[in-house]
Amino acid sequence: MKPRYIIGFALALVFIVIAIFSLSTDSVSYTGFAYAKNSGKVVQIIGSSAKDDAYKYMAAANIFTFRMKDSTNTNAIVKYNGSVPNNFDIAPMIVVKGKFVRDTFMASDILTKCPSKYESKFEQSKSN
Amino acid sequence: MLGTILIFILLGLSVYTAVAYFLSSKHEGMLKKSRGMYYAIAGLIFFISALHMGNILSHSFEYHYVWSYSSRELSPLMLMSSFYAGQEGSFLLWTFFTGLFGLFALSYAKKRDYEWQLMGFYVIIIAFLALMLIAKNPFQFIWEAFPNVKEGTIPPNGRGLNPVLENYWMSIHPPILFFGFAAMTVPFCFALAALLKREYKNWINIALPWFNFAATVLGFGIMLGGFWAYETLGWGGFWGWDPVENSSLLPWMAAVAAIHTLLVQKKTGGLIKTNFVITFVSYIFVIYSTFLTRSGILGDTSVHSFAEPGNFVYAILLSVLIIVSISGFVFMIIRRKDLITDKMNFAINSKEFIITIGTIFLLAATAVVFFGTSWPIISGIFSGTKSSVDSAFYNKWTLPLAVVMLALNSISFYSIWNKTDWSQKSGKLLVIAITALIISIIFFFLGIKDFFHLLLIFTTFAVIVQNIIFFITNRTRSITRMGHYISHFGISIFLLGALLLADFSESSHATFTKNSVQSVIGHNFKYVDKQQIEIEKKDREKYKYIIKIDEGAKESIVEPIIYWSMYNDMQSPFFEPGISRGFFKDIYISPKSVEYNDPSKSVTLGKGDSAALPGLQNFKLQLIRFDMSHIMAASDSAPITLGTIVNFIRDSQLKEDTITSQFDMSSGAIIPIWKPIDTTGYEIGFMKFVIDKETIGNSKAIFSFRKIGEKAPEQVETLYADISTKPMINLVWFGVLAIVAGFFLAGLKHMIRQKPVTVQAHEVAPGTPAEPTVATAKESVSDSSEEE
Repeated sequence: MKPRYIIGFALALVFIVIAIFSLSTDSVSYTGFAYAKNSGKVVQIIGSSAKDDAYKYMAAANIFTFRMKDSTNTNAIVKYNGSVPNNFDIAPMIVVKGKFVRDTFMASDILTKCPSKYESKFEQSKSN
Repeated sequence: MLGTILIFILLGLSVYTAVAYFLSSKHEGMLKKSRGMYYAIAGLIFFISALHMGNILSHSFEYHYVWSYSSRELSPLMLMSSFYAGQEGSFLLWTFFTGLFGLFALSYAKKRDYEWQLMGFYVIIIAFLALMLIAKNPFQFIWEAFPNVKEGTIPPNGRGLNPVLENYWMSIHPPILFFGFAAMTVPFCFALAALLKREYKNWINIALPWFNFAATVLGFGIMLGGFWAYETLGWGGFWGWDPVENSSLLPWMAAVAAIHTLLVQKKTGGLIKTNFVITFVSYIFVIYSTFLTRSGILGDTSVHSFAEPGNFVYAILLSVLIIVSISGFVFMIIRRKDLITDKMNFAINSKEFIITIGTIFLLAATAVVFFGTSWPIISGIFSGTKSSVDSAFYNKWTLPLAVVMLALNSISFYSIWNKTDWSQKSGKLLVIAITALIISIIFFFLGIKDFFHLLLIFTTFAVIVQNIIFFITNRTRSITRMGHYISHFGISIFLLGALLLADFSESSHATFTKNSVQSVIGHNFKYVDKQQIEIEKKDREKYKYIIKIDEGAKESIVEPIIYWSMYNDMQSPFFEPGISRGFFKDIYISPKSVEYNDPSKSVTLGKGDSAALPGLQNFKLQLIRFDMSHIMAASDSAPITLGTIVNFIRDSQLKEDTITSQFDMSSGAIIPIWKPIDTTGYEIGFMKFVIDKETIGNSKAIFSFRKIGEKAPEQVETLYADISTKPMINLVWFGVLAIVAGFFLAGLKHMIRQKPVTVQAHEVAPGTPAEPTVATAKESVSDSSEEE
């Protein structure tokens, strides 16, 4: 083993360790509302939105709120600083990123997944 | 049916041809036959592609693919673009380009005595592609996709292209990207062929121009994607570190690394093993990229939507990925005895040393992108809960790496191969450093306070200044010998642009009503009018909003676009940003939503709800139920009467009444039949029926009130938009164009230079002119680096 190889390996190792450490601090995990509330951490939650009385866009303040249901059917009011995202109303699945402040989930990001499964629609129109 | 059979034939023929090529070293005359079979493969691929294109152009909606991605309304250009709008078609496009490149690669390799080795591997790749086409078959019939559809059904029209994709970028960006992916196949196969041939030197001369070509095309394709996102999709920036973007960046970064390390081998004879590894990695990334974007594995973490392709496709993608990943390394292990020789160390003051260190940092940046993009998969496997990284992660890591790379580039600029006499060069470097330092101090006072940002300013300007001096003093030099200078100049300009954009961009949220003026980010914005566009297309309702910007001395107009499309049943609008382009900055208006409000007094009621009537304090209105009795009796042409049964409540006295309106099916308009409320002098109208499609019982009614005889005011439209400035965005575009142009020119040079290197030459011919450098010191390409 030549010393420069050892130095090279050491540097690579340091890089990898820092990278992994950074990855685990910068990464945001996908969980449910229950975990988000208990931990108080910034998380991502996959679920669907409900169109009830909580669904509101306050234009003057530019705040959008809605009720969301995660995969375990746990509900929470989500508050987002911005307007209603593109395709929000027809998205079968949404992903919100943020954390709980008291009882409200403050979202910094909302991802809407466009419905891509139009197949079922075709079946419907055919069976009618 | 024909198409499906032809794909199976393609698979069979590819496997057969691979065997034939590999046997041709032992059997006389086999090579010529194999070559003939490759021509047949290429012809077959072209025919399959033509068949697919024909199906689309002839609106053969009995094909699931054609039905899914095209429609009769599409313009010819968009119709042609739907060729690759879905996974099936994009695999076919990839196969098409791979087949096409094979013809060039074949004749190229033939001249360099590499034909059977290269083409043997090449057709295996085509076989893989054919396998993917079997899994994702563009010729699947609609009744094969949906078991409940009767055989022979031909839908009258297709679903059409996603309107987001429906613009000219769609016809440019994806083909260029796949062109680049296909081009990456060639150097990969050359590396395998070289190992097979036990020829570890000359192959890099042969493969290098292909890497340059691939980096040019792929880089250009990625840039167009960024421009598309900026110009039409309204993502606000040119890059978002989205998994789909990253997955096309990975092969490009690896190709760029390979260009550097192959060059080092060309000059010094070192890095033999490294070059095999990097070449393999570059193609592994191509397949990995495909795996990430086609397997649905990143479905939750990207704004791009992915269809779940099914287990069969997943398995095939994963096996191809594994095979491609290990094959090269297994081959290297088989040849390990050959590869152990030729160990050398670069002198610390040589150009090759600096380039190698720089490439290590480039590979580190590649690793950052790789781990960041793969994190949902890695974290899912190791910790059970999936997690993903923010764009902050990428920015944090790539910034210092970019600083180091630029600094090394700046030093390498004055270094020479083999050995640099720094006593002569340090003066020059000092001048550059001082110039860059002065510029950095200026930027500090302009408002950049972040230490790393200032370091980036310092290093970018060092490279920019060096290159500008070089371009001026060497303006008579042949352009093909300027390639790598132009590329490095481009990357520094690009990074400078990206930094200035990040540090000086201002943004704000704005709410517009017609003729209102909004003063944000230092400008006055006025929404003047809107105009319907593309009226001739019946599947959409598209408006451009004319917004005037008062920029002090001049006035400019920005036209963001909002449209509704049949594609999602006109349910929610699509947006396109409007951009006022300037030399130093763009003003960017990205619509976020649009709302229509009735300024007259109105209440919205669901079944059973009640509310006070605005303006009439002692009155309450309760919605009992909807009256749908007229709907059943309605004919198609006449307007339908929609009714609501309501209670007027006055001082706890109930009075039931029916309020109706006329609903015109053809125009979609609702005309209320106004009804006076007692003796109040007000009348009530049923203005809108808000349908809840899932539970019709949850539908709501909107009622309006006005003084009897008063005319109802028009609806007020409110437009919500994000407005931002994009300073120096042009540096980003210019920088990337320069990078790409530089790669092209350097590739051209490698191509021209290697001509004298023919079949017999296994080493760089001694007479070959050396890599141009600023230095005038005599150079040699001989192997005089210190040996281990």
